[in-house]
Amino acid sequence: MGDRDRIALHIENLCKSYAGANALNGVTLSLRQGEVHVLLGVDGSGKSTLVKILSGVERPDFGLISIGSSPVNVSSPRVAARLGIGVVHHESSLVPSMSVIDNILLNYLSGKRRWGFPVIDWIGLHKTIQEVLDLMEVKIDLQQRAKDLTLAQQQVVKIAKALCIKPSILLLDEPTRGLTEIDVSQLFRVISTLIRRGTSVLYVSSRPDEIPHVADRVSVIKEGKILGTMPADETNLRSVVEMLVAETSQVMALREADRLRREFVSLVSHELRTPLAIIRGYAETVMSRPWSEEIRKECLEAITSGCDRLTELVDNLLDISSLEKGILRIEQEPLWLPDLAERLVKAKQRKIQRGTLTTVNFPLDFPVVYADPKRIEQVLHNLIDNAVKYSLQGSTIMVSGVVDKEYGGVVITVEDEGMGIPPEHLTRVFERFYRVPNHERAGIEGSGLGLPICKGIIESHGGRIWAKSTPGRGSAFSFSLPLALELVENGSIK
Amino acid sequence: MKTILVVEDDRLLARLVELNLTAEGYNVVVYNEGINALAYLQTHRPNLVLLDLMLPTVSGWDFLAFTQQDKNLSRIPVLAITALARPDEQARTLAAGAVACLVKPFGIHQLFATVDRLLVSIDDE
Repeated sequence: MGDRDRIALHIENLCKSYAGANALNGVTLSLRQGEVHVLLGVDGSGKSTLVKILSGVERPDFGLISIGSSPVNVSSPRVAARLGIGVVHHESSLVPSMSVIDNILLNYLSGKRRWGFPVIDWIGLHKTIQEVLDLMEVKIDLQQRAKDLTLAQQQVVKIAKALCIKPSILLLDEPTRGLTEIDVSQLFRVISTLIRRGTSVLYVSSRPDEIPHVADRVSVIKEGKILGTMPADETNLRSVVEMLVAETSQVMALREADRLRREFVSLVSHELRTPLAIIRGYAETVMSRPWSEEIRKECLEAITSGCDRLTELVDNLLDISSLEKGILRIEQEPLWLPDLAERLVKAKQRKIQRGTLTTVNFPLDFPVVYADPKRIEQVLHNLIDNAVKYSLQGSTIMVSGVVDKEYGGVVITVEDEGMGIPPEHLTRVFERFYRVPNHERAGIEGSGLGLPICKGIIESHGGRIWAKSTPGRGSAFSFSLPLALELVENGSIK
Repeated sequence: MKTILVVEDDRLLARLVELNLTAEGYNVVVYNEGINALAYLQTHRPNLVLLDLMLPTVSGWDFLAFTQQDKNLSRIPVLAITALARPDEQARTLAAGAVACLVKPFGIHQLFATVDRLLVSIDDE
């Protein structure tokens, strides 16, 4: 077995979470002796957490770290140094007003102490530092102040600082951040010198373009997991980049949560304002003048009506929340839909403002279904309200029901001749807070809660809800409800 | 007597504004749809328009776009009634041609003050 095949550092199933979020999700990785192993990942992929654990700054929740072939416990940065792990953190910097040598010596001030004073082998130390700088083939005046160094020189000093403990393993955390191209090539020369001397380097990076210049092997880390490890010369840069940037389910879920949060804020500010304006306005009105008894009554009724609207909004929000948690209660009982539809249509017809007609069209032998009458009424109420809202003056809204033998249930449809919905939005109308952009522009108010609630209710009954539409011609919203089994068997459906 | 045109689809809000402005001594004309209000403007010249931006079919924005094109109609000041409270949204409303915004939920004293201010500024011209 050659030196190059010997394992300098092995990490097995390393896990770490912060406040319930997994930063590392079972990372397994080995660093061979004398290799540059690039750990490639975007910000937030867990690479910095891994560096912190290996340098003793953080403790893992779970997992094993071995150096050579023996398991080790990297309990603090000092232990890491003793184990031969040198670290260059990208966020650390030199003290600008101190000289190069003093910056390096800072390491030792926090080291061994005797009678309160650090024990420093000055002669040995100077020799080590000189050796290190010689090894790196860089000329830096040790008395120069850190702030007068170029970024690359500062980086080299940081590496020199790490090398003074004579590490066998060097962790470089994004060493090229902030460096110019010339600086970078100098840094790469230093790294290759170190490798020739047998040091093993774990090179943490977010830049795939660096791989060909430094890496022997590459591991891609994402969401706290190693997606794969491959030799650098076999690495297809493009596929690595795709691996890195592809949106993961987790990211998509976060995006969706963020959208919902924003939509919710917008809903609250829009939908609450009209009923609030009514309540406030009429309350102030009653108090402002000695109105007639009749007008006072009118104002108080308006306030009640504003409260009803707020209550409906709150109920809808509660329904949505129950549906999300899966605790919406459905109390099923025999229900004859034509009755319900007729009653609703009659009640609505009186309220319809723009002369829209509503007709009911049900076959006489319509079967009974088992369903929650209040919930189904809520669905029909919502669908009819929507149809009215998006209809033009004088157009017809039709509520109809058919028996679908193949499906073994009934299908109820509410059809309007309104503005319709473009096909690309048709499936999204059932998403929470989703509003068809056109409708928003047309100035029609809506919370984007009604249809998602309908969907939840119907699906809780084992049914399905869907929409068909031709923009400019109208929309048809349908839902199905299954028939109770015994009804099917008794031949109620002929 | 000064005439105020109110374009508001919410019946309760429209009635609220009508009730109070009538009591203040204005002649108030209410329309629930933008299209009917525009038809009214073909033959009448109110002193002020109170316009809800969230209107069905012809929205408040469409209404403003229409009146701004007409050099006679554009002289009538439009007070926008809106639920859009953010400064950038209000700026957009003013850019569309409204002279002021009344953000829901507004109080009736705010309503009176704004209406008075706008009508006085017309008298000054």
